[in-house]
Amino acid sequence: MAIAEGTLPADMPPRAAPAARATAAGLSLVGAVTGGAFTLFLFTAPDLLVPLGIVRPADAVIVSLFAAAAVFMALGGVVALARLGLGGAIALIGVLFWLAACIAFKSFGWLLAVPLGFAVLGALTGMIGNDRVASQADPRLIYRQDVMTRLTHWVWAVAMFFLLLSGLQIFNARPNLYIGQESGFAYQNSILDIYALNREGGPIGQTKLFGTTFDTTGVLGVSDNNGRVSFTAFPGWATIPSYRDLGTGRVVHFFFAWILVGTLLMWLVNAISSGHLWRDIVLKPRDIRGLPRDIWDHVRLRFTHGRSYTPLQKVAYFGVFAVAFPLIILTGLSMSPGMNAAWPWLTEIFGGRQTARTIHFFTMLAFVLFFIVHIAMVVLAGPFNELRSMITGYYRTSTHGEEK
Amino acid sequence: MSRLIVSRRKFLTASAAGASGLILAGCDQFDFLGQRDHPARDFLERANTLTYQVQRLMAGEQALARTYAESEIRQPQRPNGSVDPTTPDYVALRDGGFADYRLRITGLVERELSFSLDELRNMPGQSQITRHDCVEGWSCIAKWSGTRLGPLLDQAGVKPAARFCVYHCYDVMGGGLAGTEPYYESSDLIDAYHPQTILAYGLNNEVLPVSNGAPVRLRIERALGYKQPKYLHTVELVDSFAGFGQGQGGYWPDHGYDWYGGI
Repeated sequence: MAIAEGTLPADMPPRAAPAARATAAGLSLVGAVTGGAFTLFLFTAPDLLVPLGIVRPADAVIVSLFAAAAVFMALGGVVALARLGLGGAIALIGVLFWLAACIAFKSFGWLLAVPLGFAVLGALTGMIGNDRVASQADPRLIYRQDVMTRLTHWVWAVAMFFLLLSGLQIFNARPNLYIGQESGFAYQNSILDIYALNREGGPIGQTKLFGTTFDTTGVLGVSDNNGRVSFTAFPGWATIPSYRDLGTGRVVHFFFAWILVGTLLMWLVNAISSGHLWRDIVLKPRDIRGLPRDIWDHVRLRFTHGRSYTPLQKVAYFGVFAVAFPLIILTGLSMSPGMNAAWPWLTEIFGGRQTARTIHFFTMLAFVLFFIVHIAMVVLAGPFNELRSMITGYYRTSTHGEEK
Repeated sequence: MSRLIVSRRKFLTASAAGASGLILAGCDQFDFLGQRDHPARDFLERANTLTYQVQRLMAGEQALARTYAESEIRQPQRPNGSVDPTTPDYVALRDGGFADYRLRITGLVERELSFSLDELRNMPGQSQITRHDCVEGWSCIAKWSGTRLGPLLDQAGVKPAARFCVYHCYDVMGGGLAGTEPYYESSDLIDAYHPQTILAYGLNNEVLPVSNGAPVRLRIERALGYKQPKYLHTVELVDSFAGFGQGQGGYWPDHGYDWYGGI
């Protein structure tokens, strides 16, 4: 392959390493200094931060997380001067600590975004700069994922997380799934019901799926929410917010639905124009023919690391982009009375609003299954290489022979 | 290169820590989004305005909600929310068979008007079999009979400054420590004038029962159930929601639901 001969794609010209080192180090250090200053104020004089919107005191764990983040950012910046890739990776650890601190602190204001932004840019400059140069010397290190694929991948990861948890919140308002236009109250047309019952030994949770009843006490129907018994269908740890609040669930769900649809469109335009869609996603007869062999390879955990995806990977990604995403978006729209007036045919192709809601739910389950397999495959196939390709875009290719 | 690989390994450990942070986050880390005045929530709520504007563009002003055949009415309309208001005004009206009921049209109009139930019933009427979609997720098909709101607004003469209709109801919500709040809703003039927007006084070929909003309930067929105010007594034309409830344009919008209600 021409691309593996050490040449770079046209949009990624090689850059002088010293300049990249200085940039990566500078950005990470600015992140470290601003982050460190913030942490110092938070620790010694939190009152000074009140006018800037930080009104909550932070406990020792949160301050330590922020401090550790700043230390990693600083360390990454210094190391990047000597070893660009290593420095970038260390700065990225700082970024993850900073995110964890933000989540623990329950705050995501602009003040917290400044160190994060600098450190992210520093880490990416370091890691990408390193891989650009490294790929020139190593023909097996190829540029596989372009910037749009990488960006949308991580945006989708975040959006799907919020869509899932807010979606379960919305589901909890009516934990039944029906077939048809309407919900049967005077007759029976539900296929899934999650509910609580009072028994002598205390309340129990039950789930009825296609007429079969399962005891799901502790998880579905009846669960523990921070020491209190909760009678929601899905437990508090699986919903946003953790307590019953349909209005907030809808606000979160619709915001991230727009994010998902917007970035999917951006990705689609780019994937068509760059050839990514046709080359890597669209299933072709060749892929179908190669499927049995590829399944056997996967069973033996012998993975091919090539320029494009293997047949089984293509089936998975084609399924996600051509079936699961369109299905979950269109069934979502089918539930909107406003959309029903605009596109009356949409609800009908799914067999009615309640059937659309049921399909929406089961497509969500398919996405959860995809996520589990996706993570498992990343771990089994070599997490360093796989994560690298989704961060810097560069991927170490191999052949079967070298896998042994 | 080997040193680099060590760093990747460290990096993986840290990402695992980050990922588990996100999983733990499911507990209550994002509960702050439930605070109505939180800046992050304000930002997320902008998506609702986008939804409203895009759906208005896509559906236009006249697109109709889907209607169904008589044979698709398979059950009584499920009552939800208030089902038996106990406010003294309403109880008195109900005990008098709604003989003294008046529907008022007030606010930014040339002439304030009021109509008795008989006057409403004698106006040109229409029936529509539509699907009622509750925000909770359930749906129920029923036949609603009434007279269109649009011609009554024309009769009152809507002033150019009017932008919304506020619908005031007899029932109250809440209670307990926070006290009660009267139920009210609102819509833009597009929904108010929509050909399927009716002041409904009949349900499934019967007189509208108390549990479903007697004597008059508004139907805005392109929106969710909470936009179909029951026990309606006044339609007030306004240019803003300031001064009503908590200013969000409805009892449920005051409690964190989107005002548009078309999704």
